[in-house]
Amino acid sequence: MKKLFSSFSAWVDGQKPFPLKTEYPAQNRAPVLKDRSGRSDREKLRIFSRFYTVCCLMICALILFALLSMAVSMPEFGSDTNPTVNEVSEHYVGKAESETGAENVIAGMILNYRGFDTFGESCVLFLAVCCVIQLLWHTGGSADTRSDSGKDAAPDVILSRVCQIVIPCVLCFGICVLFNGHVSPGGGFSGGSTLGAALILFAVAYGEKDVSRFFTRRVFDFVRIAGLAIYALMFGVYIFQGANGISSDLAHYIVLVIDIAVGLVVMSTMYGFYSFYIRGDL
Amino acid sequence: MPFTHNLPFLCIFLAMAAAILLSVVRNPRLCWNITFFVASASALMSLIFLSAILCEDSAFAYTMGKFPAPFGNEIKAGPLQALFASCFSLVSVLALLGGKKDLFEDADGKKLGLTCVMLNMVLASLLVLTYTNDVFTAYVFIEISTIAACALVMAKDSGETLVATIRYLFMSLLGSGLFLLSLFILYGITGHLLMPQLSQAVAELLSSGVYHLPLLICAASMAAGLGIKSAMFPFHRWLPDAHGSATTCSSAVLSGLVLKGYAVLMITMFIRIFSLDFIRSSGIGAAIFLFGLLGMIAGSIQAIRETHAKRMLAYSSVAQMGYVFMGIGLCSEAGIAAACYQILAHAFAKPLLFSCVGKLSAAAGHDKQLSALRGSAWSCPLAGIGFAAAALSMIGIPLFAGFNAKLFLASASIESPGTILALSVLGLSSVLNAIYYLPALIALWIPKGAEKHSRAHSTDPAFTAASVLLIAGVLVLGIFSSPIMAIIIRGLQLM
Amino acid sequence: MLETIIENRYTITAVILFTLGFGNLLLHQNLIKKVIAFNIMDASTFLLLATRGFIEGRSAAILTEGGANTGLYVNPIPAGLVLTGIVVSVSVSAFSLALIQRIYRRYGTVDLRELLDAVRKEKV
Repeated sequence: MKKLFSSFSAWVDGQKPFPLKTEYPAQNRAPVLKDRSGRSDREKLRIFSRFYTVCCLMICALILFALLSMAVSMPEFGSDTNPTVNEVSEHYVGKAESETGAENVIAGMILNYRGFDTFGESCVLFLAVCCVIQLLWHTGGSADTRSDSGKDAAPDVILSRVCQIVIPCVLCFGICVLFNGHVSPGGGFSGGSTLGAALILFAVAYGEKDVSRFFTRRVFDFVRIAGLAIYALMFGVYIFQGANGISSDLAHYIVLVIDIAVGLVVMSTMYGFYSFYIRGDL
Repeated sequence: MPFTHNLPFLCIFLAMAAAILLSVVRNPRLCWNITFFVASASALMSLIFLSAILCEDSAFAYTMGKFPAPFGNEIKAGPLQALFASCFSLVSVLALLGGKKDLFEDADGKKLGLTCVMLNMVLASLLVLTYTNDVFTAYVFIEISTIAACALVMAKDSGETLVATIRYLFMSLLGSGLFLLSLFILYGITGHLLMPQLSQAVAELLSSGVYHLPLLICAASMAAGLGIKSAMFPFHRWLPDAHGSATTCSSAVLSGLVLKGYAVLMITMFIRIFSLDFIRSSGIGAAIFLFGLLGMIAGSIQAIRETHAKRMLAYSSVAQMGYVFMGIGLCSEAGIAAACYQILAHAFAKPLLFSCVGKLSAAAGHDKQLSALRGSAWSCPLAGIGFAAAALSMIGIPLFAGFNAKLFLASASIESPGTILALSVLGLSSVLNAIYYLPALIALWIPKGAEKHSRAHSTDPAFTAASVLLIAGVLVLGIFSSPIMAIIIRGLQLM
Repeated sequence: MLETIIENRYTITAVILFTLGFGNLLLHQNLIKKVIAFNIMDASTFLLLATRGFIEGRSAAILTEGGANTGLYVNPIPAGLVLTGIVVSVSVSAFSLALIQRIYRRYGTVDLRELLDAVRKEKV
C-alpha cells in the first residue's frame, strides 16, 4: 500500500509512469532480464497473432455457416413472384418514361427518383479525389524519402501510331454514351469513365506533359467543381420544389443535364486519379 | 407546409455545397471561416427547427424530390432528430473553435482547404444519418463519413497518422461491407428500401414466420457493421491510434460526433425497421448489451494503462460508447432514451477534453505524455477548469452531464432481466473512470515545484469561447435533465 | 438438397465470396491484399443483389419497342443500386491505394505488422 502511494506520488510528480499492479514483477526484475523483455514482447505478439488468426477463422466459419443456411432459404432465384417484384419496380418500369423522360429506366431511377443517393455517390467520388490530392500532391514540403516518379521515357512509336486511330474512336464512343444515357445503355458514369480512359490513354502514349497543356489544374478543378455544383444546384431546386409542392417541368430534363454533369465529374476524376498516382500533380 | 420543415434539408445541402466549393479555395483562413460559418448557420437553423417542431409536437416525412415514399428518397424529422442535429452541429462549431490553433499548426497550409472540405462533409453526413428515412441513402452517407473521417485523421501529416488512417479505413470497410450485405438481404426479402414500407414488410414477415433466418442474419450483421464503425468492444483496437494521433479538432469531431452518428443510425434502424420486440426476442439485444458492458470495463482498463493523454481519452471513448450500447441493448424505451442522453452528454464532454488537452499540451511544448502535462493547468486555468468539468462528467459526479446519463441507464436497467449485472458493471466502470481521470486531474493542477509555468503568451479567444460554451453544455445537460429527457422520450414515441 | 443448392447457386457463390473477402481482410497483413479482399467482398454483395433482381426470360430495363409493359423487363432497382455501390467501392479503393502509396514511400513496406513496428520505433 505504501509502495503504491509512493509510486503514485512519483507519478504525480512526473518522474515515471504510474505502474500497474500487473507490471510490478516486470519492474522488480534484475536489469539483466530487461533485455529479454524485447523477445518476450515478440513472443507475446506471436501468441496474440496466433490467437487472432484462430479467432478470425472461427468468426469466418460462423459467418459462412450462417450465411449458407440463409442462402438456401432466400427467395427463389429468377422467379417473378420474388418479394422484390412489387409495386415499386413496376412503377419504375411503367412510369419512368412519362415521369422522367428517360427510356433507360435505370438512368431515370438513379437520377430522378433516387437522385439524392446518386448525389451522395458523386460526393463520394469527389471526396476520394480530394483525399488523393491531399495524400499525393507534391507541394514541395514533402519529407518522404522514397520516390519512384520522374522517368520520362521516349514515346513509343507503335503506341502513338495506334493511339492516333484509337483515341478519336474512344472519345466519340464516350461522348455518344454520355449524351444518350437517358435513351440507351450508358449514362454519366460509363460515358465519363470512357472519356477519362481516353485521356489516360493519351497521357500514356504522348506523355503527361501534352495533356497538362490543355488539361491544367485549373481546368481540372473547374470541370470537377462545375459538374458537381450544377448537380447540387439543380437537384437542390428540384427537391425544394418537389417537397413544397411547387409545380414545374424540371423533372423532364433533369436526367439529361445531370447525366452530363456526372459524366464531366467522372471523367476528370478518372484522369485525376491517374495523374496524381503517377506524378503527384496535374 | 410551413417553411420550417425545409430547414433540415437546407442544413444538409448548405454543408454539402460548401464542401464542394471549398475544395478550390486556397486561402486557409477563408476556408476555416466558411466552414465555421456553415457549421454555425446549420446549428442555428437546427435550433430554430427544434423549437418549431417542439411547438408542433409532431414528426413529418420530407420528400427529397417530386415522388413520395415508396418511389423517391425521403428524410424524416421529429423532435429527437432535431435534438441530435442541433447537438451535432453545435458541437462541431465548438470543436472547430477549440482546435483552431492546432489545426493551423498541424495541417499543411495548402491542404487546409481539403481538411475543411472533410469537416463539412462529416457534418453533412452526420445530419443525413440522423434524418434519413431510406436505408440506401444511409449506406451512401456512411461511406461519405468513413472517407471524410479517415481524411480528418490524416490532416496532420505524419507517419503515425498515415498508419492509423489505414487501420481505421480497413476496419471501417469491414463494417460497411457487413452493412451493405445486410441491406441487400433486407431488400431481397422485402423489396423495399424506405423505412416505413420496410417496417410494414418486416412486421408481416415476422407475423407469418417466413424468411425468419434471413431477417435475423440481416439484423445481426447490421448491428455488427454499425458496431464495428462505432468502436463496439471487440472491434475497438483501431480507435486509440486514429483518435490519439490526429490533430485536436479532428480528434474532437471523430470521438465526439462521428462515433455517435452510427449509434444514432442503429437506434433508428432498430426502432423504425426491426421493432424493439424482435431485437429483444432474437437475442441481438442481449449480445449488444453484453458487448457494451465488456467495452465499459475493457476500455477503462486500457485507459488506466495509458500514459499518453490523448490515447487515454480515446480509450475512454470506447468505455463511453459501451454505455451507449448497454442502453441500446436493453431494448426498452427507457434504455434507448438513456442511450440517447449518454450520446448527448458524451458529445459535449469529449470534445471539451480533447480541446483542453490540446491547449494544455501546447503550453507544454506539444508533449502529450501525462507526465509532461503536470502542472500545466496553471498556464491556462480555463483549460484546466474545462478538463475538470468534463472529467467529473465522465466519472459521474452530480451536476455534470455524465451523472444523469448513468442515472437514467441505471433506472432503465432495473426493469430488465440483467439488473444486478448492469448495476454492478455501472458502478465498477464509474470507479475505473475515476481511477484514471482523477489522477490526471490532480496532476494537471499540482504546481511543478520551483519553476513556474509562464502564463499563456497570447490570448486565444476562439478557445475561450469554445471551452466556456462546452462547459455550459455539460452543466446544462447535468442540471436540466428532465426537459431534455422529455424531448427525447417524445421523440422516441414519434420516431 | 442438391436441387436447392443448384437453384440458389448464385446466392451461395456470393456468400462464399463474401466470407473469403471478409476473412482475408481480417487475416492478411499485406495492405494491397487487404484492398483486393475488400474488393472481393464488395463484388460478392453486388452479385447477391444482382441475382435478386433477375427474372427468368425478361430483358434489361431499357424500354424498347415493347413500350412500358411491365412484364417484359427485369427489376431495375438492383441495377441502379449496384451502379451506386460500384462507384463507392472504386472511390474507396482509390483512396486506400493512394494511402498505401504514401505509406510505402515513407516506410518502404506494405506489411501492417512491420509498419506498426516502424511507427513504434519512430516514436522512441
